[in-house]
Amino acid sequence: MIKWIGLASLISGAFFSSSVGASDTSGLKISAAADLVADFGWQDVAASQRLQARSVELMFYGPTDHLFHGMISVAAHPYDGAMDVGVHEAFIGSSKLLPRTRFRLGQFFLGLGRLNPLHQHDWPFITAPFVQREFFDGEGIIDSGLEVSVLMPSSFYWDVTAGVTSGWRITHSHGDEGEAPSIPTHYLRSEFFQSFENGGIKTGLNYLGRKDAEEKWLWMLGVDATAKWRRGKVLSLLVQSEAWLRAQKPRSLEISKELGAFVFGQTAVHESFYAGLRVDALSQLDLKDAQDERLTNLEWGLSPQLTFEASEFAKWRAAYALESRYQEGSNTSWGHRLSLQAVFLLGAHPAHEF
Amino acid sequence: MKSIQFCALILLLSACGSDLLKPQGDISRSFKALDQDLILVDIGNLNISSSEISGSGAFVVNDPLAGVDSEAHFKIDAVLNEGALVEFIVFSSAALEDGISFAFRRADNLVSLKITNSFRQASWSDTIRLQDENRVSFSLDVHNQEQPAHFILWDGLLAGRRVPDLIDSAEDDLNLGNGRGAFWGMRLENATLLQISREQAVKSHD
Repeated sequence: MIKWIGLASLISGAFFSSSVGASDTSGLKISAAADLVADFGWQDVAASQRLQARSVELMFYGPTDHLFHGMISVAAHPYDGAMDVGVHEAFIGSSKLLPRTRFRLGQFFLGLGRLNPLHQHDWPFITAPFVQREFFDGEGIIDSGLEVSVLMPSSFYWDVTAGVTSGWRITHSHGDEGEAPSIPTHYLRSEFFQSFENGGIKTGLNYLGRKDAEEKWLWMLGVDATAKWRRGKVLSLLVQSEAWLRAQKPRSLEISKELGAFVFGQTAVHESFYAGLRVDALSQLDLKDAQDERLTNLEWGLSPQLTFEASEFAKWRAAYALESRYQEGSNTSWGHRLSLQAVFLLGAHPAHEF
Repeated sequence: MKSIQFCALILLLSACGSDLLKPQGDISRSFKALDQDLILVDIGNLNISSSEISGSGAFVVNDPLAGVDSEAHFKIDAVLNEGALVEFIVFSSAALEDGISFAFRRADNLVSLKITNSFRQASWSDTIRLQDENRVSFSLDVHNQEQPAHFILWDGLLAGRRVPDLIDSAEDDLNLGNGRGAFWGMRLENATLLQISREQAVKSHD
């Protein structure tokens, strides 16, 4: 058992993260991150058509005392020509109160899937996968509540996370606080990890449910997998994928279901250069026309990218994307996207899982 | 030829009685105009040609949006005579119910705009000044995946991040909730519709 607790600690930051030196728990840490993106679209692709600071984030984190730790992050995003500033995360947590158990209380990115808990500047690609854009509000679902994780007493690494959050909102709003849901947002994640020579694979099974103020049910089921192979300090191969099924049932209306997924693969072509490719797919499974005839539909994308990463603290990326949407009975739309990104971090930076 | 076809359509629809109000897969209610496949919801006394729809009645565009929780951009161009109504309904059912409607009415040479969510029984209305009081030409972004639905209305067919808008529900604190369907259509009263089209949202937040 002790070896699995030790492994959990390793996965939580010490083994696979290159931010090891920045993750000690003595005193307040301050970190800043800027995510600069130039996004250009042609034909049917909507883009900002300019360079802008997609997000600027300030993070403060550290132990509050010998039992608890806390984190506060404030982020600014462009909206209508100005930077809209808001609190991303503000939570207190601990891993020292109960054996194999950790929790956090406050506002945070829900611990679901692979991308949602990560800040956007830590993603391995520039734009949000279609499924993340549609199901997770682009950047990620943030809410206030309690999340508890338990390392299960098993012969293999198995970590279970359960959370309940207010559920007043499930997507972003423009200052509107939302309404009290009939059933608040609740979620469950079961996570597994298997190490192998020079790497490891982490997989997760996810569930989220919520019933809003108008008694519309939302259910999401997802599976994610991330595998890494390292050659020394170099991440020689990364394969990352998520697939989600979203079902919604408004009161007195039929259930609607959507399925979305992405697969991203990246390989090191040099010590600091990486080449990657992402494939996106999204479909509404029960789309019908006004005469109740089922319509096949698929939104898909293909996005090769190049990354230059001399260190964890500065990344440069360029990506091209071919994006298309097919819907039976209507014109297929498509277009091209060119995205350039520069991400830099100042100060310490929290260690990332795996 | 078109008018003969339409008269035949009216006769056929008259025989259908109250079935007109609820689309139930009756192919005879469908027609093509303004480069869209349209289905009548309320026949009224609409006159339909390939380049305009005039009179009174209602129809839904047989081109569902990418789900209830999605966003889209629309362009509408219509002649608004005295006493006329031009109502655009979006994220509604195929019967134009439970959606968000934008109703322009001209009375006493004043144009009023009423925005309503019929499911929530919430509405907002005011008189507005348009570029051309005889013409309702507007562009509309509706982000129904946000809570509440976020809509941005431009006076004219030109829209964009740098084009001044007439109404931005987020900035003007208009919380009318969300539409509950994936369809869009029009209701006309003594008006003439010249254009109805949809595109990708202009102010997408991704």
